[in-house]
Amino acid sequence: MKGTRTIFSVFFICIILSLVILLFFQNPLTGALQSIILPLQRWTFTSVTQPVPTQLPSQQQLQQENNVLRTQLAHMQEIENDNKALHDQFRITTPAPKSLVPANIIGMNDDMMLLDKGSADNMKQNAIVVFKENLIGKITQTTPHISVVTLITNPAISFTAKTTKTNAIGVIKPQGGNSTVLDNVVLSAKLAKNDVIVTKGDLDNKGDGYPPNLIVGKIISINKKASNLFQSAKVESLVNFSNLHIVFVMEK
Amino acid sequence: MVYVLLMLLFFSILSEGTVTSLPLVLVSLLCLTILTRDSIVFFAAFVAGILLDVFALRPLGETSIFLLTFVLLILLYQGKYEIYSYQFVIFAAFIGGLFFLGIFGSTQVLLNAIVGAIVAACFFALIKLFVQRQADDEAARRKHYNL
Repeated sequence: MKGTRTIFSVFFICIILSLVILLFFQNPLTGALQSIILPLQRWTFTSVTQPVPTQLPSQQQLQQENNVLRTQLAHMQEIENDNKALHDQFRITTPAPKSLVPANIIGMNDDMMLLDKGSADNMKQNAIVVFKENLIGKITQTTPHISVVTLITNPAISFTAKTTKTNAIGVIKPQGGNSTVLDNVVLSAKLAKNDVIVTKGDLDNKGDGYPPNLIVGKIISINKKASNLFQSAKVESLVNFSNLHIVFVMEK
Repeated sequence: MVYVLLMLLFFSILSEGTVTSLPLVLVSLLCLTILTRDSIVFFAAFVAGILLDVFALRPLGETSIFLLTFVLLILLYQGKYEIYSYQFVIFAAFIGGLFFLGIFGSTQVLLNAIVGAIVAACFFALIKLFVQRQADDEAARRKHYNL
């Protein structure tokens, strides 16, 4: 009986303490605790995800080289398209970001990533996160010292994209896990395996949305049936998110 | 043994806050509660919850309330059921994990809860082994000194 009474008294003390913190001490405590914990979190993430320096198998090396070449090819094709458009007296306006802010990754699980920069470092919600020319995701939550990035593999994310070779337009729909699909592509459009997918660009007047020509991934398989209204393609990112340690946030 | 479990709890907080979505803190607290059966575990649950909230950018105190309730339920169950058993550990870790992951919006809730229950069983097996070895050592020591 005495034991049960002690259990309940300690429980109520802790619950009341939690409720007081939950209701009245959110902002001051969060900022202070984050600044203490941030180095520990950064160290943990780095030590857990640090790649072991071993000789890469030749197939993996070739795959990496292949990915680099595909990125360059996509870039060249984009320049070629730009030139053609200029010759046709069209002007492609790419809303270039003012600057890129580097941020270290301090945590990652499921389809989320934590960055070591927050609102105190001018990180804003809906800012786009990239690595080289690859789209990584967008910031969905900020606190004074940490930002949460929702990765492009998260089913909550959806945006328009196009293929670089054929300019087929569709909607990127992540399926959960690492599976992403380029959906709603009209049957008349041509999709090709290994074609690189880039963002079509849908920035609004506030600067929210996705800038054009950021690489989303490459097509690994195509699903086309004459009876369907649209065709779709499975897309694989050129970046292994779990190997990243630093990303760049596009300032709005 | 309690210090080992507290260390385990600390590493679980770090892991769950950075690289995994498995309910490791819940599992470590479950083992700590089963081993100590003391109200001191509430303080561990409170601190672990606050730290986990900081890592996961959740409102401070949310996870603490969940973990405190979880520990309370286990301590109340000890009078009615034998909590020092694999069945209870697996059941409590699975149900607790389901609720925890469901409430705090994780993906693949069922899979993570199942893996969490397996991890809990492994932790519990290690604890049992450690406790058994300590008891054997103590018995040998008593026999040696004819106590």
